[in-house]
This record gives sequence, C-alpha cells and structure tokens, in this order.
Amino acid sequence: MTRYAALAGLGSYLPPRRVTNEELAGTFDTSEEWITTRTGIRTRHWAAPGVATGDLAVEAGHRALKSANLPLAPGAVDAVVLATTTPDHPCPATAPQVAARLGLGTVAAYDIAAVCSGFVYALATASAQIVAGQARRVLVIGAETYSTILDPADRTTSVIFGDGAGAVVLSAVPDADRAGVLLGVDLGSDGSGRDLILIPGGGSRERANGEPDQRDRYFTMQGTKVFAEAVTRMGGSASALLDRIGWPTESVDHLVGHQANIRILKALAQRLGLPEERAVVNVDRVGNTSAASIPLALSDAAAAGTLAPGSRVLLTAFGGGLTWGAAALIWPDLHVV
Amino acid sequence: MSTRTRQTLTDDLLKLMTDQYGAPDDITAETSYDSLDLDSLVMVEVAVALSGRYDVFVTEEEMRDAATIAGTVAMLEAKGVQA
Repeated sequence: MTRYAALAGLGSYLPPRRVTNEELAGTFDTSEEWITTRTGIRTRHWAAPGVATGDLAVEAGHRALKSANLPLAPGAVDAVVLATTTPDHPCPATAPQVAARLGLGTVAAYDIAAVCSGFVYALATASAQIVAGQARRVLVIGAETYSTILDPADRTTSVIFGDGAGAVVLSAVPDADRAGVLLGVDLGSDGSGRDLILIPGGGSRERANGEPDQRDRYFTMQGTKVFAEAVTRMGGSASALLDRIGWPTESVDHLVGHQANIRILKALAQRLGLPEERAVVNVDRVGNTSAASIPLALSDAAAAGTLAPGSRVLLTAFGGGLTWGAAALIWPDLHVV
Repeated sequence: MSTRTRQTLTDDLLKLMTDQYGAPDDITAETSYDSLDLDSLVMVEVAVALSGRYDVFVTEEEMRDAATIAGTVAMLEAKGVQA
C-alpha cells in the first residue's frame, strides 16, 4: 500500500528569558543599531542555567502531540527524531531521553546532526520511514540551546543565536493530494566548507590537536562567506525541488527559509524571484535558533494566521557541514499549540 | 566585448546599486565602493545578487578587488557575461 507522510501536529516552545539588543549592546561592545541593521534581530530567548536542549525538546514535543490530538502514551508515535547541534551530552543521543520523558514507550529515537539544516534533514528521514512502512507516526523535533556554546568574546555570533524548540508530528495518509503531505524533499552537502561553521573541539579530532583549549568548545562562524553560501545553496535547493514537483516559483505562497538573518531571507526571495512579502520572518523576535528555526517560524506564522490552509509552503534551510535542504507541502488545517 | 554590452552592464549595475543597496544617485562607474560607506554586508549581497542575475559565481573578494562599477563590469565580462 502506498503511503505518504503528512503534517498532523505543530508546536513550539521558547524559554521565558527574552534578551534584547539593548542588553547585549552593553555586554558585547556593540550597538543596538549594528545588531539590527546587520541581522534584523531585535530579541532572542536564552534558556536559564541548568536548562538543556532535552528540556526544550520535551516541551515542544508535548505541544506538537497535543496539536495532533495524540496522548503522551506508548503507541502515540513509532519514532522520535531530534535535530540538534547542542545535544544534552556528546553521548548518548538526546532523542531517547525525550521519548522516555514524554511517555512514548520504547520507540525508535535518534538525533540528526545537520546544524541549521537539521530540521529539514529530520523531516526527510521521518517521512522516508513513513513511506517505507516502518512507522505510522513520527515526532520530529528541532531543539537548541546555543547559549551554551556561544563564545562570550565573539560579539558577531553572540548577538545572533537564540534558544528554542519546535516540533511536528508526521502521520501516514493514503493519498498524495491531501493537505499536509510532504510533496518532496531535496537535501545536499559540501564538506569542503566544513570550516565555515565549526566547533573546533569536543570531538575525536580534538586529540590530534594537542592540549584542549576551553575556547575550542565554542561555536565559530565565518559570517560573510556563510551569507553567500546560504543564499546560493537555499536558492539552488528550493529551485531544484520546485522543478521536481512541478510548482512554478510564483505559485509559492509562503517561503519559510532558515531564520538566520533578515538580509539572507530578503536576498533568498530575490534570488528565487519571489516578492519579499512571501518570506515568513520571525528572526527579529527569536534570532537564529538553528535546527529549531523552521518549526518555530512555522508555529509563529500558523498561529498568526499567515499560513492559511491550502496555501503552498516552501521550506528551505542551510547550515554547517555545509548542509542544505528544502521541502514543500500544502498547508493543512492545524491547531497550533 | 562590444561597447553596447559594456554600457548596458554598467547601467544595470548603477541601477542595482542605487535602487537596492542605498548608493547615492550621483554614483558613477568610477566611484570607489570604499567611498560609499556601505555596511560590511553590502558587498556580499551584491556578489550574491550578481551571481544569480548573470548565472556566474562572484565572491565578495572579487567585488572588493573590482573596487568600482567599471571594475565590476570588467570582472563580469572576464567571466563571459553578456548583457
């Protein structure tokens, strides 16, 4: 029996502490104006000390299950996939803990490491499990606590990133023409650009580099090179996917790009030939939340009524690796939690 | 490369810089980018925009080396761009 994976639930969670540019300008020897004009970011949320990625993932996962009218009980889903750059521990993965805390039983649970593209990669694997008949329903979460890996001496990254989590439930449906069905996914990578977005230490390469330095555990990014790669790769991935599924570019109602920087989102819309107003934007309020970015933007836009049922939605993300991807769906009638 | 092509490219770039990236209306093909006091991301944005528009690969470094619109036109022509 042919099956398709459809969006059946959506939820998100932001830690309560909201950090303004004014606060950061004092801490990082920068100005509110510099942050706003370079990034479009005005506020971001940072988790309190002691709060980890798994905690945010549990909150967002709970809300997505509620949105899909599913109980916190064994049998609700057949797998939990968690995209993150900031797992609770280097080992083991965070997803099994999240599945257990949500009461979902002994289901398959694994993390996806594709940095800011993680959620699109996770959607791809979860959807493939459903289409292959390995799962009927999958909880897909993007969750991050970048505040734990930011270098306090690096103002360029410290003002950009925020913490948060977003989650969706994908569910098997029998026909492709139902709203919410993932109509296609495009994924790509280019490891020759691995140094552009990098945490140098904390992995097995660290031993080869001699005495570990605490600063090697911090996140680094070559901003201007990443900007150009992000626009080029997201544009290429989105165009390739649109060609494959037969959507003319101008038929896309909402472009949900990775929320890294308002100027990347504008350049991306321009590259694709879409009016800027079709780009969904919440980076101004949450900053760059990496793997949580796409589901947080979806939650925000759906809750605001921007994503009307029946509208054509194109997702695209870019991140460290380098990695990138795109996915497309007709927006379903969802109750966002 | 014909003069017409060069003039068309120059006009396109002048329009792009004033319409999209905040360059003043009195900018000429010889105005140095450095003198425009643009913020640090603009050269990246222009490089990305030109890459998309002319289907070539332009980097921020090439934009900085080109230094002016005339230099940028020469750089694009060297990549085989025709208006």
